[in-house]
Amino acid sequence: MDKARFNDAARRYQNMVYRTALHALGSPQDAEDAVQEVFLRLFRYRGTFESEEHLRRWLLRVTVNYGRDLLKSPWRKRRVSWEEVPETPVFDRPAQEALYREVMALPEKYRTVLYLFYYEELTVREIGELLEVEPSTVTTRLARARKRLKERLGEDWQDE
Amino acid sequence: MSNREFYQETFSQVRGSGEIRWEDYEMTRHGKSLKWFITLAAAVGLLAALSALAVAANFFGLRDVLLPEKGGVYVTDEKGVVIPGEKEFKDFVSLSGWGDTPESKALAEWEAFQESYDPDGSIISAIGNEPTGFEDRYGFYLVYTQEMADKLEEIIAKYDLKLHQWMEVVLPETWTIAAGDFCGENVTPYSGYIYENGTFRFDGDAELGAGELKGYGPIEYQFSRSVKGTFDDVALNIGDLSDFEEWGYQTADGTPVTLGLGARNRSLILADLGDSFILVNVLTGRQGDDTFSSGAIGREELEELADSFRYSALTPAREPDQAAILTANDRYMEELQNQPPETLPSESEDPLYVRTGIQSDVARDFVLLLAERIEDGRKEEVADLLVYPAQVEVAAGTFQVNSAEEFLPYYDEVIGQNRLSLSTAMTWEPEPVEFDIFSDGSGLASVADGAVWFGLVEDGCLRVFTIQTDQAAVRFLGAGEITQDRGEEDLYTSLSVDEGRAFVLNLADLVENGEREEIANLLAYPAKVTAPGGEWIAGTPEEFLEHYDETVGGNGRGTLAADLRADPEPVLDGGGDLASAAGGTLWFDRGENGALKIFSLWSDVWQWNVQYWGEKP
Repeated sequence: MDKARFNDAARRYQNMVYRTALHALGSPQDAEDAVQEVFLRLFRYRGTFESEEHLRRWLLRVTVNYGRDLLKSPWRKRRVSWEEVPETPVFDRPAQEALYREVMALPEKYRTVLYLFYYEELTVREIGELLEVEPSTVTTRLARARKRLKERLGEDWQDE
Repeated sequence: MSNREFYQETFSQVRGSGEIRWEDYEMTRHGKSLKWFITLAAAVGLLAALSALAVAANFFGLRDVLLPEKGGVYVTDEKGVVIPGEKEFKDFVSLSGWGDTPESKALAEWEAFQESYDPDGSIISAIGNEPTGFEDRYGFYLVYTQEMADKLEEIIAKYDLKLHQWMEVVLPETWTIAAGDFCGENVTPYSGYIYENGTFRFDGDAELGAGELKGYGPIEYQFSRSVKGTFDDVALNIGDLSDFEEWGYQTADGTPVTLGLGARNRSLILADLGDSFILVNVLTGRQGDDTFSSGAIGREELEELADSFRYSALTPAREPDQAAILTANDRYMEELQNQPPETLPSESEDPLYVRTGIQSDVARDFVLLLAERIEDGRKEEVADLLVYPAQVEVAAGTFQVNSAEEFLPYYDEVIGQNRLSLSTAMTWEPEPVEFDIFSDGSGLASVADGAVWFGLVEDGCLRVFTIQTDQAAVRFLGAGEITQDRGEEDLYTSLSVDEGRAFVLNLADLVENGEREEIANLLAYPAKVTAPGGEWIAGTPEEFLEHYDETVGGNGRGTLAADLRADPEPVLDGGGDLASAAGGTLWFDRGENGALKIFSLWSDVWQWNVQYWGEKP
């Protein structure tokens, strides 16, 4: 990948990688690190991307895998935020802040599935391929996450 | 606003900081940002000074790697959120070697310095993410002022140690190239990292399967090898040393190790290889750990795990070949990219899942939800669970409804008047609640003796396709597939009963005569092959033939042929997309080229099946 393509990819996908990592890791600090790491891997990647979608999926996969590996590390558990309390973004509406808070309070496996489904608009099958789990597992996680959000957010979260 | 819009509107406001640029990676190809190390520092900066350690005369135990003062760790609430200002103190061990080694002494001194340096973070806050000029020499340590650099130099000079110079990520299949063939067949390393001197760390899992332990399942661990002579600043929180039962053990390759079996969910394996030190942090103990391991372990399992590594392959320590690691990493990534999703391992052997894509527990939750809504008379919520367009069959006639709103006028006649009987039949009250959820192979699941049919729809949600009682019914009317006066040839525009019957009888002949290639060519691919000996994904006829003798060509061949001949009449209106025969033993339909293909073939007696495992045709 040449410099122009890399910088273009960084401009378009940096926030996607950040959000994916934030969902996977639950920590803004770790998500920032993940962005650095994922784009470092892209920088070093010697393969080619057949399409824009191929690049996007590659970044999602690398981010998810990075997060999964990191979460399993006890050394990571010792890493705490410099600020001690995870930063919370400023939102336009209280309902949005509530959604952010509730999503971040979910276990990782539910957060990631929610993000890929609702934000990146991947299908259940595509999420299953990305996370290396069966589509039915994705469905289960989605159902449980929705149920939890409905319980916590009330009318702000629609029945599905 | 839909949930998706709500979600996107919310999280579009969440963005990372900083800017990713090619130029930055060119400059710091082997380093990491200062911010990365700030995080690490917050972790490793919690330890206190090391005082003199008492070392046992003969047996080196966990106490001999313990840092003498406990380290403070942040306390989190039940959601894992750090509680500001609250800390608890835990035992930490050095990964670098016994406490009297230069490496561990240096670690303790460095930690003591960090504990007292910049305690309020004001210096690092002022620096922020700007380059400090210390990155080149101290790129792998938290050094952001000259004072810190001087202290680190003083410590490594005192103990005659070097600093790490480069680090490389090692992907799962690259470990042999990076560090040698030290993993037994039952242990799997995940990705990790390795330094220029051969110090490395990775996470992995292990199957413990010897003798009576067979079937125990995987446990997870972290493996650390620290090569002596270089300063390493990582220590490990082990909780409480008194939780561990420890003993000496000689592994299968003759290496003496110290084992520590934790009373809770952590155990340790320690080995001093002379030029390097091994510490394996096992993520289970006498209590087990639901997240990381299959269950609790005892002394025997810990010894088996210790036997799973060939420590002798790790000594003498050698410098890794960075170029070879990068090449192997790239190859692994390319293989990962090209890996067809169908080769991913199955996560479920749930028969309902195999037939419908719905896990049993999910189906049960859904049935409970639906039954509750029906029983409570929550009409709109029940109507929302139906799939539209649907056909409503009531006393006044048959009508098409295209939405929940259009269905509601018919609700009482179809569902409302049978509210209690339906909900009771669905949940089989009174206790014990044992739902009889089944599938006919159509892709749908059914409950209440066929009164309710449900299945997955495109977005992954579960929806109700049919509710039918003696008086009325509502049925999904999808794309003209279901019609009230359907003839036996209507569902499949080009598949007739005669053609279907001929296909079934021909298959019976092929099975009986052992025409393996022809049978393989009749299957739709990719196909999931399940047999008593395992589970595989066959992407081609050739790949299926490797398992032919365990399935179609096995002992049940004659029975299968007889079953097909006994009931060759194809069922074309099974409610799904495929035609079936022989009581659901065979499911088939036209493939992409118009030829009839086998999408599913079962043998309940011989416990095998072959199922199409790709996109819905």
